[in-house]
Amino acid sequence: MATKKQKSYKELQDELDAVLAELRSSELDIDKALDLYKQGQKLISELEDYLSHAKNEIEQLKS
Amino acid sequence: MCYSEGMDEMVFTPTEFVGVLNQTLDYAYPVVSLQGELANVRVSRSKWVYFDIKDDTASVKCFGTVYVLPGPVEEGMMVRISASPRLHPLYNFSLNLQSVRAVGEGSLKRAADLLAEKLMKEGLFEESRKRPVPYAPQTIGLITSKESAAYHDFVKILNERWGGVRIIHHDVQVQGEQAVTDIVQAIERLNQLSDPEVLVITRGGGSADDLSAFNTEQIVRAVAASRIPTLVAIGHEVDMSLAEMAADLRASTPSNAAQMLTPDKMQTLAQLKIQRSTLADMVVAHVQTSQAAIAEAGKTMRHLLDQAYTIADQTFMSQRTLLEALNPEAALKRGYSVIRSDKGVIRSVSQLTPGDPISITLHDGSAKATINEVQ
Repeated sequence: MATKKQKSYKELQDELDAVLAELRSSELDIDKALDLYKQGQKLISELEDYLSHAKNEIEQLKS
Repeated sequence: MCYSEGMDEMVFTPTEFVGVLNQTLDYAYPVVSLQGELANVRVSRSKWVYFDIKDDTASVKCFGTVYVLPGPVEEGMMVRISASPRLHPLYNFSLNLQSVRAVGEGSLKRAADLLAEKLMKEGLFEESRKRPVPYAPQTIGLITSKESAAYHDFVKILNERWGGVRIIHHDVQVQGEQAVTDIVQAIERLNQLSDPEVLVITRGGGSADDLSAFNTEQIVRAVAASRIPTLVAIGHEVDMSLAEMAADLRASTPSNAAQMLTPDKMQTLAQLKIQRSTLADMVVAHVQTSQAAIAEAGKTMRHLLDQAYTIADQTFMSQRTLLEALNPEAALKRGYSVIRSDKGVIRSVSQLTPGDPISITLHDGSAKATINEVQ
């Protein structure tokens, strides 16, 4: 089974921005708002996890 | 080659002599470095350069392509050259140039000024050429010396601030003979890769001579021609180099370059905490809006019910009044009475005949009677 591709920080951040933008819209039913809230919390946890654990990698280009 | 009669003397033809001498030179001095003053500079067809390198007592002819020059040069400039000594079959002795660089603060400054003037006219430093450098890139192409403090500072600050970045490092000399070729090749090589989103070209501070590579036409043009946006950071102790002026973005030091490219993760974590509570606040706002809507609906419902009750009450009252008005008891109280016979309620005298027993109902009782006469 193919492993799920790790999302980049930017992708996660863009998703969170989209969730926040949608939540800001006033015409939103409560079920949708709660669903977006859960999604937002999950994305924030993933972003925090990324920042706490992601390491930089250095690759030496052979001359 | 032959030997002269009766003597142990070698006699060469000119061609042979040129060949032997070049062989000897190649063996003894394959490449020489000279430092001296430029004189009789001449550029032919924008491709070939001729000059003399001299001091107070000697002058040597040099020849090469214009691509070995650090930029425009002029008479009197102090330069250091690398070259191969050659005796040309027709044009005598010259040094075949491999590299030329200005030396000494005055000449370096003059060479940089001449190059700046030339490239400025071409618009190479125009603000409009500058492209945005991606913030928090996923892949960085890093051009610096692996042994340098610049390399370690850049990586250290990047590790402190941010994670998940892939750094593709191309090791280069950042000063001396090899620097220009190394850096130009590194820029070209990294430009052939698809991943790097930004090229960071960096080194720490140094003397004007140490930094001279970053004021050469080759490097400045390579920076300007890079397909990938560039960030050039050369030590902060001297004036800005031309490579920095041609870059899309400049930083004062290698550490500063890492700071400019990435957010600080501690700060970002604090922002995420704020976003978490913003998210909660927004949902609470939606819940409150829904609650307010429910309360409003309840109020409307109560109001409608009240209205319905009032209408029902009014209807009931008017019906009761009507009912009371129609109650026969009321008529009996006013003095009317009801006469019944065995045929029911008597509404007409035609229903009666003398001798019929009748009953008379009044409001407070009834009485029995007999009909005596009908008129």
